[in-house]
Amino acid sequence: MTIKLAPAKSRQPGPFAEIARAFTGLRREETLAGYLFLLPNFVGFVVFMLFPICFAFYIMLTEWSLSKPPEFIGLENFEVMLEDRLFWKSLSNSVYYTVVAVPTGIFIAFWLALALNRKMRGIIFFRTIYFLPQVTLTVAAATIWRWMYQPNVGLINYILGLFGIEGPNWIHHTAWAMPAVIIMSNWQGIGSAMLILLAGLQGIPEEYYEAASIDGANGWQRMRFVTLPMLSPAIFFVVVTSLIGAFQSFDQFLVLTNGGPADATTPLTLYIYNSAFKFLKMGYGAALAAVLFVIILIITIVQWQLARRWVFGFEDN
Amino acid sequence: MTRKINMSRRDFLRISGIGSLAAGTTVIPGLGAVMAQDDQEVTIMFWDGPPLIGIREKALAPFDDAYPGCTLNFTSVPGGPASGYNDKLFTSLAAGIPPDVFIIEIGLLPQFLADDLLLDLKPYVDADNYDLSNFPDLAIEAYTHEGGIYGMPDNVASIAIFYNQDMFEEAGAMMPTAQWDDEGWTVDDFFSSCEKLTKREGNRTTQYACDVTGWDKVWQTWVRIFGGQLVDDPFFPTECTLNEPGAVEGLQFYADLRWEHGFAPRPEALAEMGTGALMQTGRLGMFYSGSWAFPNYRESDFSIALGHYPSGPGGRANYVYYYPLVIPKTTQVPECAWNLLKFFNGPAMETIIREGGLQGTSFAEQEKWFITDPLPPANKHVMLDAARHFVAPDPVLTNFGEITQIMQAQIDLLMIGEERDAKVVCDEIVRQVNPLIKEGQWRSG
Repeated sequence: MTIKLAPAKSRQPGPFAEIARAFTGLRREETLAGYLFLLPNFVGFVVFMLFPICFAFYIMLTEWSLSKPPEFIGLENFEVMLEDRLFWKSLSNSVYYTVVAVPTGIFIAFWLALALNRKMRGIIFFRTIYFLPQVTLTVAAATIWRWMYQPNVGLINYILGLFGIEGPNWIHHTAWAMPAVIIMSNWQGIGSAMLILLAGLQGIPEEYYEAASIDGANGWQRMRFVTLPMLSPAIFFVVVTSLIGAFQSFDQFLVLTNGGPADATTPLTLYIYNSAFKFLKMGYGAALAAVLFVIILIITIVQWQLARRWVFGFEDN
Repeated sequence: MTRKINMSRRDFLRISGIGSLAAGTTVIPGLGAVMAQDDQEVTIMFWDGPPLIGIREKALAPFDDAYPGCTLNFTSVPGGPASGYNDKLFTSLAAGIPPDVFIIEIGLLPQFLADDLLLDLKPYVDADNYDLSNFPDLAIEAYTHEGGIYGMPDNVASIAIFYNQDMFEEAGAMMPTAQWDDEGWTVDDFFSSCEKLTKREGNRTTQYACDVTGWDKVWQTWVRIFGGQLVDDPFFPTECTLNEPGAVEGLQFYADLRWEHGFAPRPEALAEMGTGALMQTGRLGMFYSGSWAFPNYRESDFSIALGHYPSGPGGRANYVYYYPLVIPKTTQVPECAWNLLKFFNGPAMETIIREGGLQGTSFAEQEKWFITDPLPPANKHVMLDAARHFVAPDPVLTNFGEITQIMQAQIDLLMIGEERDAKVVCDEIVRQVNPLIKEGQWRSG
């Protein structure tokens, strides 16, 4: 048995007529049907996103151990934060991670995209290989990287040893633990950045390169004056999303180092989780989350402001 | 044969609505039927994974028959408190629907008492003349607040030194004593045994004497052996005393076993082969663990036994777990929950101990079932004696979990060898922890 829906009536021209008709006759039913179809997603958004976000802004002004009702304490959580050594430590860890991981990740992704933006046999295979870590579960990947980072029998120190380099005790040393997390994160994360940049590269018209060549531009000049400007919107997108993602990184820290040793790899996100769910300071955790939100917001706004200077066609859009 | 039906959107919406209504009315009478039953469902929640989860469930299965009118709902979130159990527990508490009986870490008890979350069991204990004398006094004291009793032990378990008897005999080293009041087996004897057990070939250590772990229960025990304490008064703490001479000396001695004397494997060696693997392969003489490690050594090709920690300037010490099972104040089935606690500490405990699940709660049961188990390791009475004589209370603070994490981060530096001076570490701990102790005090002495 096939159920066939009756066809909708033809649309009426004009925006005001559309609005007027939206709540009359058959259009009202169409509108209602539209809302009904939207409803499951909307309810999910409200329950699991909008409400928690709004609620977090409330509980950051409270002391709440989950086991009794929140008690309003105003801005006390933020006062405590100023003198909290772990807050500053975790914030500096997040900044360290972001400042190192994002540029190196984008740099590698860019050169990978360039390398894979050519017509040759098996190129799809290589693109898939480089994207595979992206679809690997972080927990599984981090577990394998823990083995690879083993100081005596790990793969990484073995390879370093082939070059006469004595590898460090990666995840058990305060100076090396963060680089270890960054390497693993970049291994896993460059796939998506590479894909976006590759799509950007493939969108650059060939004629631009031909014109540049006719004008006598060499390879570097074509890169400098054609590729980079034309790719700048894609780079901008990757920079914005990577910075946000870096500040929000959590699972690789949890599984690879659990914040150790001696808090050397505790980022703000892990400290938020610990404060809220291990130390039962939900209000303080929410206040930390609010700080993280503000940091990400400011950085993103600054990036949008700076984008006018270097992103091709940004003003037009 | 297919038949096409032309349906307007209005018809579609009507049919959808009627369908939803029909589905809803089908479910609701079903719920009603469940609620109409006379049995009271009592939910208990643990944090065990296999094999303990199965052992507990099997042991508690006869509860329904023992207490007609009560129906057990057993649940467990495997992996211990940090692996999702606490998240689930706290979320259910916030929602006002916690399990009727659940286990908590002893460090959380002050917070729960301060928040007035738990049911006072004293009226039930009195009404049933329930004998608490068989449990460690300190455990019951820890569960007691302003005359009320707010928990019953889940397991009274101590830590012991597991040692390879064959290796000790071969090296001619003194073995850890199995007698709790033995005047021998001092820290000097321990050190001497470590010297004899450790074997080196050039720069490479082929056999380690002991383990040095960052496990807080172990380093805290070494602090006590040398006469130190975490805080001035565990029941009414006002300041951290970890930078006092005994505590510093104990930590320094413990860390030096690895970094100064090379008796214990370094982190890089442990990353290659964990403590258990080193022990199983005959490359480690002794390590610390609880009864949960027994199954790993049932079929070892060497003789394994349990011994006490050595005695030092502060005497002999140990850490004894006495995490409580508690009943929330909001439970709708307090009688069934109390009966379940009694059943757990009665008929179920025998099965749990005999199946190899836990050390046990009451001393009588431990004497009867735990220490008489003929399977390896030998000297199981060491754990019972430790539970009798060496219980040391955790500081009663509402934020002890947070304090532990801060202490642990600094201790890590000592354990991984980035800081070799225990005094530096202890001073930093005291500096960071003292303000938190003030914050976590919730009752005055």
